[in-house]
Amino acid sequence: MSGKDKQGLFELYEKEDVERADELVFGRVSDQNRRGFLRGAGLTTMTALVGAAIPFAANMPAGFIPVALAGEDTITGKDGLTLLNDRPLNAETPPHLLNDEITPTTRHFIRNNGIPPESFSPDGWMLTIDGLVDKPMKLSIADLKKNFEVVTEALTIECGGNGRAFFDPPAKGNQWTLGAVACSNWTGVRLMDVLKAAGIKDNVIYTAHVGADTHLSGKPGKLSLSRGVPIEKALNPHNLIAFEQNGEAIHPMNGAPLRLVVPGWPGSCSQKWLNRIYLRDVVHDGPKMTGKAYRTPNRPVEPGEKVEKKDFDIIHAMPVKSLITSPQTGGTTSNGVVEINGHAWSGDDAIAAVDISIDFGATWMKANLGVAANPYAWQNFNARVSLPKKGYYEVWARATSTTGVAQPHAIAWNPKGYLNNSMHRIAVRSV
Amino acid sequence: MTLPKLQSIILQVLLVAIIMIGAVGFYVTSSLATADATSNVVEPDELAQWGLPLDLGREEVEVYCSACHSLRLVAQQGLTKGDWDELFDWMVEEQEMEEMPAEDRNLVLNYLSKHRGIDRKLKKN
Ligand code: HEC
Repeated sequence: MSGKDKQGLFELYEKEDVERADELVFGRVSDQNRRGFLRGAGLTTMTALVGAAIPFAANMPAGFIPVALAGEDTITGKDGLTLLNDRPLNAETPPHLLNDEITPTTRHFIRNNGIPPESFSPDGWMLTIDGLVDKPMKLSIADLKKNFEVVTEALTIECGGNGRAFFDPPAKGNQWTLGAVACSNWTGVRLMDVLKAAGIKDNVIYTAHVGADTHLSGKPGKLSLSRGVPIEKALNPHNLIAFEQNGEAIHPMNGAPLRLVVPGWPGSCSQKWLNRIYLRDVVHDGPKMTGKAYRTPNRPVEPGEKVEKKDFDIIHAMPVKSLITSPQTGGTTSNGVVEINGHAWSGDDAIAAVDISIDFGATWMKANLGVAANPYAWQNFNARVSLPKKGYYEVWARATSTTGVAQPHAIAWNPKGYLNNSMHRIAVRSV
Repeated sequence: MTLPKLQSIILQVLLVAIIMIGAVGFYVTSSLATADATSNVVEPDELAQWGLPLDLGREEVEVYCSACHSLRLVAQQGLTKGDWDELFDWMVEEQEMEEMPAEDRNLVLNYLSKHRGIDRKLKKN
């Protein structure tokens, strides 16, 4: 980890009192003498981060950052993510680390747009629901749990710019390759239930979401990103106002203590550090709703073509896509057999089929396709392929949605590098 | 001495030589980059590793472009000169960047279009 990446961790320890920082970073609680790990809290995290058991853990003073962490590319509470940008933090997960059916919190990508809030504590966190509603509301997280049904669902979140790195000519923004996608279990209340309780006025057409992160310039009151969705999408029962990720506190960089999860649409619709939702009678015009942000041209364009602002449309559902998560690209097989695992997902739709090719797309075979844990969860697939003789192969995967749309070979180039759903390919050598 | 053994020794010598040349090269570029008059501590040139090598205009890029975000965001890009120029306007109009004095803006523009043009290679992670 470079000096600059480490800054975040050390800054946190400077800003917070050490015990609070311990808890945030490692989930660690020390004993009364400010040593050790009370009931082992946080020891597993720290052990995982340093990569070995710590025999003298009981002697570690509170606020202690193992020196082993100073030399590596680690993001606290994350495992094996590739850092694209350290300020704001943007990191993706290599495909082979996304093999789990439900993405562990440690492997969920991070896309930050601004400066995260100072505190990620649920205590005192308030959510305002206002704008064009009959009864504006201010709700604590306890109020949400008390007044609405609490549900848990596996939900796919993908960054609108996932796959941007493969654009030629390059497109502006973080150069995500394949791993800005995840499907964790999220626990929360339905956005629909909360909006209905507030009373949606007849003229409402759009939501507007606000989070507690601030603009990178530090200008007071300026938002880094505030997006919304058409009210029809907002009323889909699978959108959650979530307070847990995989049964535990949400990772601070994934939006603790409260976030929206609007699956199937660009991740930016799922506002992190959520503190306000207001309803509007116009298409929301917050930061990154306008201009060319999260928009694609309203017609096919030539790679590199200049497109005027007025010819851009807001992205709605993400496209059909699949990812091979095992084996890792670049591996070898000595008996010619390769067991393939992966996931497939498609915006607001489900997946009807995943096909696999080992001959650069000339012939295809069907993979075994699992059912989704619930709508908007990705579907797992597997296949066993036999490579006919020694040599270099590529395994390609192609998902088809229930609406009959399949992944393309080529990228539909667009100026801002969104929606790359071209087929995933991995290299395998038979030796 | 058998032939394979000899080959392996030659290989080893070569390898050591390559590593040494590499190390010296690295030392030289990094001292150029970061050693200044007041300090003789030499740090590796992190920016060059990200794809922003030492050249005319890099200092201005550091000054103007690292206040709000890391230069990693800048280093990831590959844009035409026109698109870099347009991006500066966006940074000023929408992201609260202060307009750069014309001379510095030119230095930054020339540096970025030379080193972060559309033919740029992404750093392999
Ligand atoms: C006053 C603050 C500020 C300064 C100074 C600044 N930027 Fe930015 N820049 C931003 C913000 C905010 C974003 C959006 C960040 C994000 O989406 O993660 C951004 C994004 C970018 C992006 C990504 C663009 C995209 O479409 O996603 C590039 C490239 C960039 N800046 C380059 C520069 C360069 C080059 C300079 C110096 C000439 C500079 N920035 C100076 C605030 C600033």
